[in-house]
Amino acid sequence: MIVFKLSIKNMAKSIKDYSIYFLTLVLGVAIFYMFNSLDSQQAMLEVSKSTHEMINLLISMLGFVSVFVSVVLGLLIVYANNFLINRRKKEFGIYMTLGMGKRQISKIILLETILVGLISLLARNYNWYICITIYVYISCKTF
Amino acid sequence: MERILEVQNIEKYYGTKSNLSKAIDNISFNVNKGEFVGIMGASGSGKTTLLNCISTIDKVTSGHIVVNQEDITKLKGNKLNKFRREELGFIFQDFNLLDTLTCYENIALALTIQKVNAREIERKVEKIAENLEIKEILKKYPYQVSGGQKQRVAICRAIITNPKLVLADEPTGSLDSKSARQLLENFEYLNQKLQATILMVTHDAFTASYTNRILFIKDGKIFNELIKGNDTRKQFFEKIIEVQTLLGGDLNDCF
Repeated sequence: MIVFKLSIKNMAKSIKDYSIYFLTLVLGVAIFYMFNSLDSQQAMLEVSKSTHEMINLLISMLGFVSVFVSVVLGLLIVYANNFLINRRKKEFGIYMTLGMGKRQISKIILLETILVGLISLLARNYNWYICITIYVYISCKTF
Repeated sequence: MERILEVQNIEKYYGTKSNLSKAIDNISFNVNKGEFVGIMGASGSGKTTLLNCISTIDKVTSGHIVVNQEDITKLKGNKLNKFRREELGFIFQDFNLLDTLTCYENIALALTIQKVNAREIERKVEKIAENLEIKEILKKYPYQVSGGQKQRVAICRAIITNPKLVLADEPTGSLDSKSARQLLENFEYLNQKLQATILMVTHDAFTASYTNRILFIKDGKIFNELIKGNDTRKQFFEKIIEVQTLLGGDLNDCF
């Protein structure tokens, strides 16, 4: 119970710190989805045959790119996480001097991360919709 | 008398083999239940290192520290957490309160970690807050109250679990003289009325004059020991100054 309360409160209070993390996640996830869902877009199904072939080629190429993107994204998330944890070293120190175990502290961090993840997942849905529309529009225009 | 803390020949080295510095060099002493012990020394004399070793924040190079018949230099993992949770109370120079929680929650946190039920916590916090005169700030956040009040909240948090030993590292270090005096009176109250055993590190002679016994540390060794006995605080203070003069050079640090 206390763990849950602490997580929520910590998140609300350190929203500024989290906004960096949040933005990273939102942008990351949005870009990732953009890369991987190009072929299932409505606009893509309605283009002419020759354009369709070209787009297929583009998609298979994007497959490789998306591996690269996921690696970069992974590193970015790890970095953002470390940044956050470092900022809160002292707080964890206080928990430890009060006798909280490593497991309990991990629980707090885990819960906070899950909460942030959930929110960014929700935000992504809106963001992604806007981004993908622009993206598809541009790629259709180029061919 | 019950012996709460036993420090046996502890040593603490820093650095590598070629560049060794001894922060603590063979220190031994005992603290009995209900004592209020001060540790004094110049900066760099190893007093904070000593406190860190006793508080299990740091590990000794050799020697043993026995708290309540348990050798804490051998504790690990969950046992160490349990020891910190139940036997120790910490008070720091810079308060170390959590800004995300109200003062009440800060104090209650020490108990919630021990899984005490909510009603019991409320009762205990109310009682201790009343004793230390911070009842009216319990609902405020630490950044909304003064330094002296913050430190009193920190004291509440440290002693609410009824620890065997309270460790204070320069508790008056970041307070003005009036708050410092008030705080030291609180310490006296804890010591005399609640029988709390307190170990306080300080470099200030005035702060030290509130204790019952003072250990002077110089270059990692115990240099002298002063016992208050039946002296008044003023006499004790003068004795402390005398020893400090003997220690050399430190007098300038206090004034």
